[in-house]
Amino acid sequence: MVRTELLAILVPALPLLGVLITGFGRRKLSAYAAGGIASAMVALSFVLSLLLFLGHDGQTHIVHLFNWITVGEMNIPFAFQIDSLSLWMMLVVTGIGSLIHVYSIGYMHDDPRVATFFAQLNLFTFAMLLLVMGANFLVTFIGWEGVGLCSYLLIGFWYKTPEFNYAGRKAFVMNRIGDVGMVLAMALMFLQFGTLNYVGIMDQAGSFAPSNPLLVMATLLLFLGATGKSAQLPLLTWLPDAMAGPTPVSALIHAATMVTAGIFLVVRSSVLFELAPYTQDIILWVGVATALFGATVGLFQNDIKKVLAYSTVSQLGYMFAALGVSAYSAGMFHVTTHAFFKALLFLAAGSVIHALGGEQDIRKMGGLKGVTKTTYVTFLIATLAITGIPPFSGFFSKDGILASTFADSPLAYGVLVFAAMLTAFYMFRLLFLTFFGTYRGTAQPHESPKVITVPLVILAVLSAIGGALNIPHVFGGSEWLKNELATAVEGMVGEHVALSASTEYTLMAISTLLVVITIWYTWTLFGKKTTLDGEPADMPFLKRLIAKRWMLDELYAFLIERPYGWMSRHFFSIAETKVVVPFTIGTGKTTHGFAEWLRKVQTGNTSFYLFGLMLGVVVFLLITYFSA
Amino acid sequence: MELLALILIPFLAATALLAFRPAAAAARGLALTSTLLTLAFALWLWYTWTGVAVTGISHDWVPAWGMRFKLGYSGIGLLMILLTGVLFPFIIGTGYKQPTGDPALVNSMLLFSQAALFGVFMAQNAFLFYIFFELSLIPIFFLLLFWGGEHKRAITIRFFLYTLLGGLALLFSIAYVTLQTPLPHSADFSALAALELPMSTQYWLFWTMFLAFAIKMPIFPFHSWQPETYVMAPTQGTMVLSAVMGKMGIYGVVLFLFTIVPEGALHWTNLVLVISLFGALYAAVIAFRQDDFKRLVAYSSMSHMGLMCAALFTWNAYGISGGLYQTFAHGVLMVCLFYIVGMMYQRVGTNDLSAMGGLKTRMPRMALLFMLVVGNAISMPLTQSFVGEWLMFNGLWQLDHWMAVAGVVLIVLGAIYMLYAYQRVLLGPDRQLEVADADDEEHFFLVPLIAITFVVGVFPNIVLHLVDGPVQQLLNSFTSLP
Amino acid sequence: MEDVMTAIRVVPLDHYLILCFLLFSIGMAGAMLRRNILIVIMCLELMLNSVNLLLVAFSAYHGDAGGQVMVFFIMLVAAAEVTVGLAILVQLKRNTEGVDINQLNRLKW
Repeated sequence: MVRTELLAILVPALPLLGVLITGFGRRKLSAYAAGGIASAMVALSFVLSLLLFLGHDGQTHIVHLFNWITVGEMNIPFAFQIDSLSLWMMLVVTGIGSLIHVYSIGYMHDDPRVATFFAQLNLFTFAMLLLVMGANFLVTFIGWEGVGLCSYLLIGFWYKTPEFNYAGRKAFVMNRIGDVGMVLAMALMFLQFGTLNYVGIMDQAGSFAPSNPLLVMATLLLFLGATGKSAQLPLLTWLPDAMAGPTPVSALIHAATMVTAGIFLVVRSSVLFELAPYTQDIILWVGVATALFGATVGLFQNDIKKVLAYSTVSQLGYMFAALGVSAYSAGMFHVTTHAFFKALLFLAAGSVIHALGGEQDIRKMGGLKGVTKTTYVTFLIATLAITGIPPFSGFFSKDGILASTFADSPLAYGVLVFAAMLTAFYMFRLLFLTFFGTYRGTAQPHESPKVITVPLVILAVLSAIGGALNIPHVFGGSEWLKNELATAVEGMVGEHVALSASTEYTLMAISTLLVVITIWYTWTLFGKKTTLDGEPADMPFLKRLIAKRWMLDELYAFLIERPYGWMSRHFFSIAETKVVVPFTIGTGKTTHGFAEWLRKVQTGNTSFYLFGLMLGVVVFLLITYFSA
Repeated sequence: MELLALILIPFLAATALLAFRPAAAAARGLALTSTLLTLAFALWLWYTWTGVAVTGISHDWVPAWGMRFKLGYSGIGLLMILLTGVLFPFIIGTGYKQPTGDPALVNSMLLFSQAALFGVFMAQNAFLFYIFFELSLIPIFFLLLFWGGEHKRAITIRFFLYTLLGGLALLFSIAYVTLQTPLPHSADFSALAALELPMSTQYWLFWTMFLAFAIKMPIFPFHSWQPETYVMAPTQGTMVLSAVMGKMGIYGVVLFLFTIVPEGALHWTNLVLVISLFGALYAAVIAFRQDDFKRLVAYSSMSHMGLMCAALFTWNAYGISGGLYQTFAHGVLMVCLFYIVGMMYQRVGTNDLSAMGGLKTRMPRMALLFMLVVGNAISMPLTQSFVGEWLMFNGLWQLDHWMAVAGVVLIVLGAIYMLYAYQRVLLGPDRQLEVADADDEEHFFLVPLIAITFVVGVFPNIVLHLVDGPVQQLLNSFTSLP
Repeated sequence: MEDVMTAIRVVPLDHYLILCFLLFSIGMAGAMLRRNILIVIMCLELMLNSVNLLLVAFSAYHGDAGGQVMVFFIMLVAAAEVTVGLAILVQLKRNTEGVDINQLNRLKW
C-alpha cells in the first residue's frame, strides 16, 4: 500500500519536476538537455505507471494526499484514485507522451524556445495525469482545466502569428463553454450526493431510479463538458484550428490524449450515465453526427494536418457513439488504438512537414515514398489501422464499436459504416497525394533523423498489433482489456454484445468489403496523380458546403462572435457612457443647475432679506397656529 | 495590544513622514518597515487564531451613551486584516518602481489609509466603524487629487461625493438603528445584532445601509465612479481602492446587513442577486473590447466584485465562505494586475492596448509572470481564485440553478477578455518597440504575490478556516428567519 | 419695586400687546423701506425696545423678575450693536459719500 501511494504520487510529480527544471533552466539548458530531461521525466513516469499497473490487484485504491477544500459540510480531498481505468489511461498518457517527447527533441531542436516548449509539454503531462488520476471530480477538474491551458499555450506557441493566437484563444474559450457544464454538473452532484468523490457518488447513484431527472441533468451537463474537451458537435470548430500548434502538440494533445478526456470522463461516471438512458441516446447521436461531420469535411481538406484533425473529430465521434450504447470497453479500446495510430499519423505528417521544410499543403507533395521510406511505411500502417483493415489495431477497436452499435441501433450502425468508408477515402487520398505519384513541390525532401523515426517505428508496431489487447471472442480472444477495465468501470457490468457469431462475421465482412472497395476507388482517382486539377469552378452545392466545413465557423462568427463584439462595444459606448455615467453626472449637474437658479435669491438687498425673514416668521406662525 | 499596534504603527509612521518629510529613500524605507511590521502582527494574529472572536481593547468612549472604544476581530475581520496586512507592503513597494510623487507625502497618505482600514476591520462599535470607514477615504482623496492623471479634479470630486453619499446613508442608518436599541445606546455591534426590527423598517433600512456598501464595492448600477477613478488614479491609489477598500463593502454586507437587518436582506435577496450578477456579466462583456488596459482591469474587477456580492446573498456556507475567501484572492490579483498595467505604462507610455503587442520576444520574463497572473484571473484550478469561484458557484447553485448558470458563464467571459488582453499586450508580430524586460525589482515584487496565489490555491484551508466558524454562526442566526 | 410693578399693572396687558405690536411694525416697516442707514438703525432700536417693553410688561404680570433682567441684557447688546452700526455708517459715509443702504449690495450671489 505504501508502495502504491509513493508510486502514485511520483507519477504526476515527475513531470511537474520536469516543468520546474526545464522552466527555470530555460535560458541555460541546451535544446538537447531540456528535451532529454523532459523526456526522461515522462519516460520514468511511464515506467512507474507500468510498475503500478503490474502490481495492481484489481481493487480501487484511494491515495489521499491532503484535504484540499474544507467548508461547512464540504470536504474535498486532494486524492488520487488508482484502479484499472486510471492506470490504463496513465499508461496511455505517459507511454505515448514519452514517445512524443523524444520525437520533439528532433522536431523542435531548432526552435529558440525549445526549453519552454518542453516545460509546457511536461506541464501538460502533469495536468493530464491529474485528470485521469483524480479521485473526485474537482481533482479531475484541475487536470481538465490544466490541459486546456497547456493546449492554449502550445497552440499559440509560435506567438508571432495572430491567427495562431486566435486559434489558441478559440480552443480555450470553447473548452470553457464546455466547462460551464462541468462546473454546474459538479455543483449539482455535490448538492445531491454531498460529495464529489467518484466512489461515493457511484455508490449512492445506485439508489436512484433510472431516468431520474436530476441524473439526466447531471449527465447532460457532464456531457456538455465532454463535448467541449473532446471536440464534439457543436463545440468542435476549435480542434482543426488547433493544428496551428507544433506537430508534436497536435499529436499528443489534439489527437492522442487531451481530446479523449471527455470519453474518460463519461467512462469514469458510467454508473450515472447508465441510469440516464435519455442522455445516452443524445451521446450516441451526437457521436454519430460528429463522426459523419468530421469524415465529410475531411474529404476536401488540402492541409495535411487539417485532414488528420477532422479525422480525429470523426474518430472521437465513434468513441462517443460507443459510449452512447454503453460499450465502454469498446470506447476505451478505441481511445487506446486511436492514440497509437493517430499519434503516429500526426508524427509521420510532422516528419513529412519537417522533410519538406514546413510545407503542409498536400497539393504540393507527392512521390515521397521513395525519399522518406520509414515515414512512408509507418504512415501506411497507421492509415491501414485507422481505416480498419484487419489485422491492424483499428479493425478490432472499430469493429467493437460497430458491433455494439448495430445491436442497439442499426441506423447508427449504417451511418458509422458510411463514415468508415469516407474515412478510407480521405485517408487514402491523403496517403496517395503525399507519397504516390510525382513530387509537385519545390523544397528538397529528405528523410528525418533517427530521433524522429524511432518513435514512429515504435508507434507503428503498436498500431499494427495493438488490436491484440482486446481480441473479441469470435476470434478466440479473451477480450483482455475489457476484463481488465471491468474491475473499475461498474457500468460495464451491463455491457454485452447480444450478437451471434455469424452476425458478427457478416458485419465485419460487410464493413471491410466496403472499405476495401472505397480504397480501390480512391486509388483510381488519386493513385497515379502527377498534377492536380484546379478546383472546378462550378462545384455542386453540397460539395461546396462540405469544402467550406458546413459553414460552421461562419455560423458561429455570425451568431456569436460578431454579436458579442458588437455588444461589448455598445455596452460601453451606449449603456455605460450614455446612460449610467451620465446619470451620475446628471445628478451633479441638476444640483448645480438648481443652485444656479436659487442663488439669485441672494440679491444683496438688505430690505429684501428682512422681508424674507418676516415672511418666514409669519408662515411659521401660521403653520403652528393651524396645526395646533 | 496587537490590535492597537496595527492602527498605531501605520498612523505614527504616517505622521512622522508628514512631519519630517524625509528624503525619498528614507521615506520609502520607513513606510515599508512599518507595513512589514503590521504584516508581522497580522500574521501573528492569524497564527494564533483559535476560532473564537477576540476583543482586544475596550475603553470608555462616550460614557453617557455607554459607547466604548472597542477593537476586536472575528474570523471574517481577521481575514480582512490579513488581506490589508499582506497587500500594503506591496502597495508601498510599488512606489519603488512606479513612483507616484513625493514619497514622503504619498506614503504617509497610504499609511493613514492603512491605519483607518485596520480600524474598519477591527471596530466593534458601529460609530467607530463609520468613523474609520470615512477616515480611510480622506488620504485617498488627497492622493487622487494631487497625483491623479487627466481630469483628476472632476473625477476625484465625483468619486468623493458618490462614496460620501453612501457613507451618509450609512451614518443615518447607524444613528437610526442605535436609537432603536434600549438605553444606553452603545451602538455596539452585539447590541445592534440583538435588535429585532420590524419587517417594514428592515425593508427600507436595508437599502440605506446597502447603498454605502454597493457604492464601495462597487456593483451595478452604483459603479459609475469606478472605471474613471481607477484609470485616473496613480497605480498605488488604484491598488488601495480596488484591492482593499472595495472589500470594505463585502465586509460591511456581512457585518451589517446579515446581522442587523437579516429579514430585509432576505426580502431583497433576489433583486440584489439579479443586479450584481447582471453587473458582473455586463462588466465582463464591456471588458472584452476595451482599448484602455487599465480600464479593462477596472471592469474585470467590477465583474469579480459583482460575483462576490451575489455569492454573499446565497444564504449558505459555500456562497458566503466563497465570497469572503475571494476577497483575499481578488485583492492579490488586483495588485498584480495593476502593477503589470503600471509596468506597461512606464514602458510604452500609454495604457492603450492598440499601441502594445508583439512584446513577448523582448519581455520573456514579463510574459511568464503575466501568464501566471492571468491564470489566477481566469481562475485556473490550483490558483486561489478557483477555490473561491467554485465555492461561489456551488453556493449559487444551491440557491437557484439559473443564477448559477449566469455566474458560471463568467468563467467563459473572463477567459475571453483576459486572454484577449494578454494577446494584445504581448503576442503577435514584433512591432519594434524599444522596451525593457521586467527587471529584478519587478520580478521580486510579483513573484511573492504569485507564490501566495499558488500556496493559497493549493492549501485554501489556511484561509478558509478563518471564516468557517463565523459563517456557521451567521447561518445559525439565520435559522430563525421565516 | 413693588410700586413699579403695580403701576405697570394699571394698564391692561392687551394694551401693551397692541402698543408693542404697533411699535414693532413701525420699526419693521422702517427697516425694510427706508434707505437711510441712520433711520434703519433707529428703526432697529425701535423694534428692540418694543420687545423690551413687552418683556417688562409680561414680567410684571407674571411676577417674575427674569424678564426685566433680560431687558438689561438686551439694552446692553443694543448699545454694542449701535456702536458697531454707527461705525459702519461712518465708514460708509466716508467711502461712498452717502448713507444709502442699497449701496451695500455688493455681497450677493
